[in-house]
Amino acid sequence: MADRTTILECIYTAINETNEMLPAESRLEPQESEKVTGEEAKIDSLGFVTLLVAIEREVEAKTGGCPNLAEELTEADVELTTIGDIAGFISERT
Amino acid sequence: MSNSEHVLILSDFNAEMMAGLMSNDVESPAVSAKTGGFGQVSSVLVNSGHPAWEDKTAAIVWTHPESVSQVFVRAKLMESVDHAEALREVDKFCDEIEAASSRVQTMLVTTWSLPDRSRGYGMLDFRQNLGIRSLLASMNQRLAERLGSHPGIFLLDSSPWLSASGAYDPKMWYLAKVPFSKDVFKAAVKDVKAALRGMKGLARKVVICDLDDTLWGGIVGEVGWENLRLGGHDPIGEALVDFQKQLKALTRRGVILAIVSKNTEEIALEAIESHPEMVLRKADFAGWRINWTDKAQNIADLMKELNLGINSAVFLDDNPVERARVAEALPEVLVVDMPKDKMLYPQTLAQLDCFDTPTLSEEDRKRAEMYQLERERRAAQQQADDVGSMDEWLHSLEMSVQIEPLQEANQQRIGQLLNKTNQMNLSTRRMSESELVEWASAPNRGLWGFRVADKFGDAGLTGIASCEIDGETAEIVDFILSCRVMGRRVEETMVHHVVGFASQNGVKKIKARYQPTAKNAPCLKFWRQSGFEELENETFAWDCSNPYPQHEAIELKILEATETIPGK
Repeated sequence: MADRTTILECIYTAINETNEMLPAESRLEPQESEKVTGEEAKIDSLGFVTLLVAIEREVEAKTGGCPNLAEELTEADVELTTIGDIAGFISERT
Repeated sequence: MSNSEHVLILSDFNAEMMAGLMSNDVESPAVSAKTGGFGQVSSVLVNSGHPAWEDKTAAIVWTHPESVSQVFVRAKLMESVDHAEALREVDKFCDEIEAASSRVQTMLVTTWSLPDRSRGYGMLDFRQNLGIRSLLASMNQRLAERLGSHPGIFLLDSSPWLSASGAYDPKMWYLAKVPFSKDVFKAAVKDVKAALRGMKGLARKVVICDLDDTLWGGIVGEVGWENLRLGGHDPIGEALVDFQKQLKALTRRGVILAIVSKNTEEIALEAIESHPEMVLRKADFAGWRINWTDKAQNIADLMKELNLGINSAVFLDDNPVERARVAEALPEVLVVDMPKDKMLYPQTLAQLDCFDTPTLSEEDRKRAEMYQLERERRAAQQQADDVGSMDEWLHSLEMSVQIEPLQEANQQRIGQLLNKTNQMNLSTRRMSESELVEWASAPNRGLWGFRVADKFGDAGLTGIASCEIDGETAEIVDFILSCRVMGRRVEETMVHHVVGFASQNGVKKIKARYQPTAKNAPCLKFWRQSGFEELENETFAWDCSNPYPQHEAIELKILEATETIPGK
């Protein structure tokens, strides 16, 4: 199991990467409570997919492996609402 | 974002990421980018009333060949196809782009590329009427033939953006219909911004070079010109010759060269003229400051001498301390971060995107030569200052000004001058060539180009004036003069012609309304000394019952229209 702190660092790097492509009102804060899905999320579905792929790349580069998030989320039928949820989901699978 | 360029991206993929990157990019000009929606290319191009066009000043059309040509789709599946049919499909696409181009000032169309990993027919892939690459090359060639010379349409080569490893992103394509990595979009945004800067007349015009360890290897004052590293069987020497060749090439696209170097002038100039491997000689430089003074001060003085704004300058120097000093003192100068390894100098110069312009005229190609002539004129002026008056100097120049109506032969040059001149510019309005032609075609308007020559040579078409008549009054709308010929009474000649035109058309009073910008203070200075009466709000007026005087030293030639422009 990968260290949660390391996973969060990867996610925050991915957030910075993704923010470069988002309008000011949609930019994400690098914090566990930041909403990424649902009505309170600042990003739309494209932003969410972009973020997931960026996170996969960062985690893969830093830890040597990462689950296929988009596919596993669909298969596991789980809804990840916050950055903290994503970190937990990855930690359990690496 | 009120001063932003409003850019529309039409693509056959999801371009929201690119729109975001472009809007967030801090490089000038500021852009507000919107997409036409995933896959909405033709449907938006053919619909002039589509809301996506509202307020847009530029559009980017980025497609894959598959979305333009069904023949290409079949060719990729190795079917036997008729290549001529694919070209007819390209023609249809070009028709749509041409029709849509009048809705924006700038239409940027990307060329088509194949992913590097796509091998096609391998060693047969460039065989005519068979290979996929052969077909794509023909399609790109047709795109260039159809659109390449259209004044408002520009082709951007997508292949450099897509050449890096990892350029294609299959995961993002299948998940979100985004085919490329972020780096591809970043490279595209960089090229689009360079094009938009060119359209706005913000291309850099002068490269100011250091000498020691920049144009040549070594310190000439210490080792002598005979021992400099330049050319020969020496990797650094060869690289610096290539670097000089590239600088020389820049002069052929309208960029002028200058020197700012801490050196003894006599020694440095001797090296430039005497070293057998020097590509650049004294005649290639529009001016220089070779002394022991602060380089920032030298650059400021030099730009003033060349009559160019500081923001036209690019500074190349091997010394990071000098670069930091110039960057701090003159933030508008583009200070290039030169690599430590001199073998990388040619590549660094080749990658600069600050010289892109939408047109290249004969005047541009001869600009370096014209600045050299200007240097000689200044020397003659200095001599005249020593012995006589300004009038004597003007007489000695044997100047002539040829006045030409707007016509097909000069339309591109007039459009270029209108859109890039900043200092002597009354209204600083920017228009595409087609907008300009349409504006000038109204019967109550006149627009002329002014071509200046003297005994030293032909400065080319360097001035524009236009006026609009409304009953017994008229307004000078454009009053534009290249900095190359400012201060030689060409300004008064232009006013003389416009006032004469107005007077012949029954105008009693003509006005010039100065529109201030950050750069056109020289224009206000001229109008304040012009003899026109200054009214309120920096507006100037002349009673047309009095002819406006023209300087006797200037011979005036009026060229009648030999070709017609649409609507004129």
